[in-house]
Amino acid sequence: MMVRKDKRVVLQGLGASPGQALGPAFLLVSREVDVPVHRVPPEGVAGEIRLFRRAVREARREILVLRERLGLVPEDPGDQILASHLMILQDRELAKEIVAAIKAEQSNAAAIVRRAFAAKAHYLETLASEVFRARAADVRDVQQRLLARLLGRTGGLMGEAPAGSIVVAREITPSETLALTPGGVAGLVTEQGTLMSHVTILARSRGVPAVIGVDAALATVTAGEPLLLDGDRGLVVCSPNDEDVRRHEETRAREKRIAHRVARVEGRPGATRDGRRVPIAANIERPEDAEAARRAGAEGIGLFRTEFLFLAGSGLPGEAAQTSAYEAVSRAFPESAVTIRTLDVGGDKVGGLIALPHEENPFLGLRGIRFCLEHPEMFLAQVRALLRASARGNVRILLPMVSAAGELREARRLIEQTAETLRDEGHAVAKPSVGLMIEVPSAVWMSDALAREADFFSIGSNDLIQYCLAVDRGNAQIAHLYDGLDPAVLRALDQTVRGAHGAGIRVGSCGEMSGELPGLLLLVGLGIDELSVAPFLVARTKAVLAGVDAADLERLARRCLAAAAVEEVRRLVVAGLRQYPQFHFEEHDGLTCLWDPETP
Amino acid sequence: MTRGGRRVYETTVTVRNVPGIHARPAAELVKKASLFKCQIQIGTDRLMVNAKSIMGVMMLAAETGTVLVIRATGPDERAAAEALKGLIEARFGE
Repeated sequence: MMVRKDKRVVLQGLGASPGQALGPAFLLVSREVDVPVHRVPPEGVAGEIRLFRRAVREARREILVLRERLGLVPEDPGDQILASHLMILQDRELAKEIVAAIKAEQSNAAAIVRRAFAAKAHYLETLASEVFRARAADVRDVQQRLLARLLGRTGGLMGEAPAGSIVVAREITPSETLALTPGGVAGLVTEQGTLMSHVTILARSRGVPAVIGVDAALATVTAGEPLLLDGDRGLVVCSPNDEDVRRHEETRAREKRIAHRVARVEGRPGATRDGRRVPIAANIERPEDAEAARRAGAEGIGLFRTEFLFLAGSGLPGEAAQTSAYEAVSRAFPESAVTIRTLDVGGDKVGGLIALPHEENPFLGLRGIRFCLEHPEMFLAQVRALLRASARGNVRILLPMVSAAGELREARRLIEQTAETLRDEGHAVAKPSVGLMIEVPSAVWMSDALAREADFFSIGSNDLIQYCLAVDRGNAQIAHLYDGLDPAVLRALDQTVRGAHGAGIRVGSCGEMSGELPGLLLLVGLGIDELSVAPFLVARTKAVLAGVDAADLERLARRCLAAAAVEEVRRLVVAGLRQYPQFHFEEHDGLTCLWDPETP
Repeated sequence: MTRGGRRVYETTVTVRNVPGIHARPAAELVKKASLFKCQIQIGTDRLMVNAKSIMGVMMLAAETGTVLVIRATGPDERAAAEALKGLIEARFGE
C-alpha cells in the first residue's frame, strides 16, 4: 500500500452511475495475488493435500451460501454462472491432477492450484472463438476463490461485502455484478472499466453509485477506511472531513424528503399536470427485475436487454431457458406491453458472449440487427422463444440498430415464418408486434417510411446522440461534446416522432435521456408517447411530470428546435422553465438540472 | 471390441449446435456422462479428455462442425457412448 501524506485524499475517475454514497471501503481481493512457491518436506505433503481439499469444500459452501442469499431463479444467468463454478469444484479429474502434482513436486497447494488453473485459463484465452475464450473468466473466478481460502487474504470476495460498504476493485467480473442487489453494496469504485461495460449498465440500472477508471484505487485506499463517493462528478473522497460529511448528509436528507414525496405517486399513471398521459415503463436486464419494476410503479417494460441473459461466462441459453425467462417478464405485466429487444451485441455492447471477430471500427460494424441476421440460428432460437412466450399477447419484439428497411423486412420475414412453424407445431402464438430502435441517423431520415412497416418505435438516445454528433462519450477528450440538448439531436428526435405519428404508430424512448433532466422534459415536449427508465427512476419520473404542463414543454421544445447551437438551447431551457421553482440549474461544460419539489 | 480384456466401444459424432459445446452444453454432457460407470474419453486426434470432467470438456472447446470421437471403456460402455452421441446430435435441446 502507498503511504499517504494526508489522510483526506480526493481521487478522480469517471462518474459511471450517479448518486452519492458514504461507507467503509471493502477491498475486493485482487485477481493477481502473489502466490508463494515453496517445497514442503515429505511429511508435509499430506497436510498440503488436506489444505487443498478443505479449500475446495469451503469454496463450494461459499457458493451455495451466495446462491441462496441472492435468491436467483434457475433461468437467471447468474445462477448458471454459479452452477458452473460448482461443477468445476466438483471435477474429480482436476482434483486428481492437483493432488498428484502436490505429491510429485512436494510443493505447497497454493502454488499448484495457481499453476493448474492459470494454465487452463491461459489456454482458453488463446482460443479463436470468443464463447470459449469467455470461459477463462470462470476458471479464474474459481481459482481466485481457492487461493483466497488457501492463502488467507487481504481483501474479500464480492459476495461477502457487507451491506452499506463501498467496494473497491481493480475490475468487477460478470459474476460479481450479481451481488449488486437493493439494500446491498452502497457504491462501487474500480480501477478499470468503461462507461458502456456491464458493470456500468448494471450499477446504473440498480441505482448503485459508481466511479470507474480510478488509477491506483486499491493502492491508495485502506480496508475499512471511510469513503465518500460521488457518482455524478466521478469523485472519491478517502477519509472525508467533517465538512464533506456535513454536505453529504444535507444531500441525503434532501433526497430522503424527495423520496417520500415520490413514493406517493408511485402507483399513479404517468401524466403531466395538464393531463397529457405519458406512461412510464422500466428498462430491465434480468427476468426477475420485471416483478421489482412492477412494484416500483412501472407501467410496462419498455426495454428488456436480453444480452444479459447471454452474459459472459454463462454461455448461450437454449430456447427453453429463454422462453421461461420471457414468460416471467410477460407474466409480471399481464395488462401492459413488455418490450423485449433481440440480442444487441457488437460495438461497445457487453462483449465476451459470442464469437465476435475483431473489427477496426466496431461502432460502425457488425452490431445489433446486423449481427442477428448474420447469425440466423441464434436469432431464430431467440425469436422462437419470444413467440412461444407471446401467448398473453403483450410481448413486443424490438429490433436493435436497424439502419435500413431491408433489415426490418428480413427480420419480419424470419419472425413471421417462425410464427407459422410454431403454429404448425401446435403452439399458441399471438400475432407478433415488431418494432425497431431508432438509434442510427439513417433510420431517423427514413423514419416516415420505416414507420409504415413497423408496429412501434423506440428511441435509443445513447447511440443516437453518439452517431448524430460523431462523439464517443467514452473518449475523455471529447466526452463533453456528447449532449442530448444539441439542436441536431433535438431535430432528429422531432423528425422521428413526426415520422411515427404520421403513420399512426407510437414512439417511446428508452435511452438514458428518458430519465434525465432536462432531457425527459424535451422528449415530452417533442411528443414522445412513453418513457422507459431504470426501475428506481420510475416513480421519480412520474413525480417530475406531474409537476409540469405539457403545453409549456411543447412550446419550449418548438423554440429549442429553432436554435442554432447547444448553448442557445441551454439558455432557452433555463428561461423556459423559470416559472417552475422546482428546477435548479448549474451551468458548466453542460447544463445540470436538479429537481427539488420542496422548493417553495 | 476389447482392449486389454476390457470392453471398449467407440463412435463418432459431429457437433451441430451453434456455437459449439460451450458452457451449458458442456455441463449437460458431463452430467450425462457421470450417470455411467464406465470410463469415457471424448475428443479429437488433437486432444482427448475425460467426459466426466467439466474442465476437460471446457478445454476441448468443440465448435460447430467438430467431429468428436467418443470412446467408452467398462461395464455400460455402449449405452454411455450412445447416450452422449444422442445428446450431441440433438444439439443439447437448443
